[in-house]
Amino acid sequence: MSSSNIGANQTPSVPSSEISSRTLQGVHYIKLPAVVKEHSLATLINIFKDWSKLKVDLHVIDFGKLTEAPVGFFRLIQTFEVQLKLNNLKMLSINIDPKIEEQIHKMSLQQTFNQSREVKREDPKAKKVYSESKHKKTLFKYLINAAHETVQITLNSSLTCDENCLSKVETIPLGEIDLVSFVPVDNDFISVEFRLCSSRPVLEKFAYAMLGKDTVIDDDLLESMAQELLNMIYGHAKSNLNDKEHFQLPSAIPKILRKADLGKIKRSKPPDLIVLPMITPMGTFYVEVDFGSL
Amino acid sequence: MDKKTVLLVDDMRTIRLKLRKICSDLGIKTIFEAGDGNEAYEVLRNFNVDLVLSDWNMPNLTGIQLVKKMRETPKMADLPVIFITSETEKSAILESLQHGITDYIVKPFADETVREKIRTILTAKA
Repeated sequence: MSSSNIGANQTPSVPSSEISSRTLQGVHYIKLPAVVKEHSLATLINIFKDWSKLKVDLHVIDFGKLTEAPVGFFRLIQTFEVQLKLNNLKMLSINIDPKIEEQIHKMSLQQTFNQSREVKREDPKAKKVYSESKHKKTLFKYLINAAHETVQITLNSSLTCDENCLSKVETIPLGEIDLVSFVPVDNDFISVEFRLCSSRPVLEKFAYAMLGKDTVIDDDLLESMAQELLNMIYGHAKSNLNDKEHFQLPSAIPKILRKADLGKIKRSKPPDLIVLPMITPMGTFYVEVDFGSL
Repeated sequence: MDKKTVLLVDDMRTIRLKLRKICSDLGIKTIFEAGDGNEAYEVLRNFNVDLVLSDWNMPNLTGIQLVKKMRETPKMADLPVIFITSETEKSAILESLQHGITDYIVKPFADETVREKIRTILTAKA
C-alpha cells in the first residue's frame, strides 16, 4: 500500500486539505477537494500527469463534496482518462453531485464520468447462464487455482489437482469423512453448493502445519480449520471470478456439518455433481461442486 | 513493540490463533480477540488499542460495518485498521479506501507479509 497527500508532500501550492490519493491493491483512489479554483489547475495538471503513469488496475475519482468546478478541471480529467485509455487502464467516477452532473452533461462528457457500473457487485439483469460447460470449466479452474494457493501459502505444502481430475462422488471415501464445510449460493446468476469434505486426521495435520506442532487440537479448532479452508478457496476463487470473468458470486461464511449430520446432505447425480479431489502430502480433501442440490 | 496493543477480529479461531502467534513473535504482549464486529467494537470502547486486524466476512457485524462504526466514533476515528480477507474485488477495495482502511492483506497470506505490515504501522505510530 502507498499513501500520498500530494498537496502536503509534493506540491505546496495546493493545501493538503485539497486533494489526496492512496493506492491499495491496485486501486488508486483520488479524493477531490470541496472546491477547485482556476488558479490551482496548473498544479493539478502535473499531479494528474504523474498519476496517469501509476501502475494500477483502476483509478477512482471520488467527487466527495465538490459541487462546481472550472471548465478546465473537467477537461483535465478528460485528458487524464484518455491517457489511461491509451494504456488500457480504467477510470471510475463516484459520488458525483447533481450540480456536477449538470456541468458534465453540458460539456457532453458523460462518457468520461459515467462509469460507475463497472465495479458494481451484482447485476440484477444477469441470467442463470451457468449451466453452460464453458462456465463450469472456468469455475473449476479458479477453484483449483485457489486451492493450490491456499495449500501452498497457508500449509506450506503442495497440492495436486487439475482440470482433468474431475471425479464422481464415488471417489470420496464417505465413511472416512468427519466434517463437511459448505457454502450454498442461490442467486439470479447461479445455483450451486460448494462442499469441502475432510477427515479428522487430515485436518489435524493441516492444523499443525498452519499453527505449529505445539497447537492444542480440539473439535472446535478442527471445525474452524475445515471452515477456513473452504473460506479461503471459495473467497479467493469468487473474487477473481467476479473481477475477471464477470461472475456474480456472493460473499459467504462457510457453515459446518459434523459426522452425525452428514446424511442430511442431498447430493445430486452427475453431471450436476462434480468432485475435485485435492491431494496433498498430508492427505486428501475433496471439494464438491453441486449444481442441483439447492 | 511490547507496549503495543492489537485487536484481532475474525470469526475463525484458526485465523485468530495464527495472527496471535505472529503478533507474539513480534513482541506484542497485549492481544485482544473478537469473533465479530460487535465484539470488536465493545473491546475498542473499553480498551486502548493501537491496531486492529480484521476479517471482512463475519456474522452479526462485518469488517466493513465495524470500520464504518469506528469512523463515526471520535475515539476510534483514526485508529489504523488492516483488513485480512479473501475479498479482493475492486468494489471491496474501493469501499475500504473510502472508509480509510490503512492496509489490506489478501487471504491466503504469508506470515512475513502480516509481520511486515504490522511492524510498519506500529513503528510509524510510535
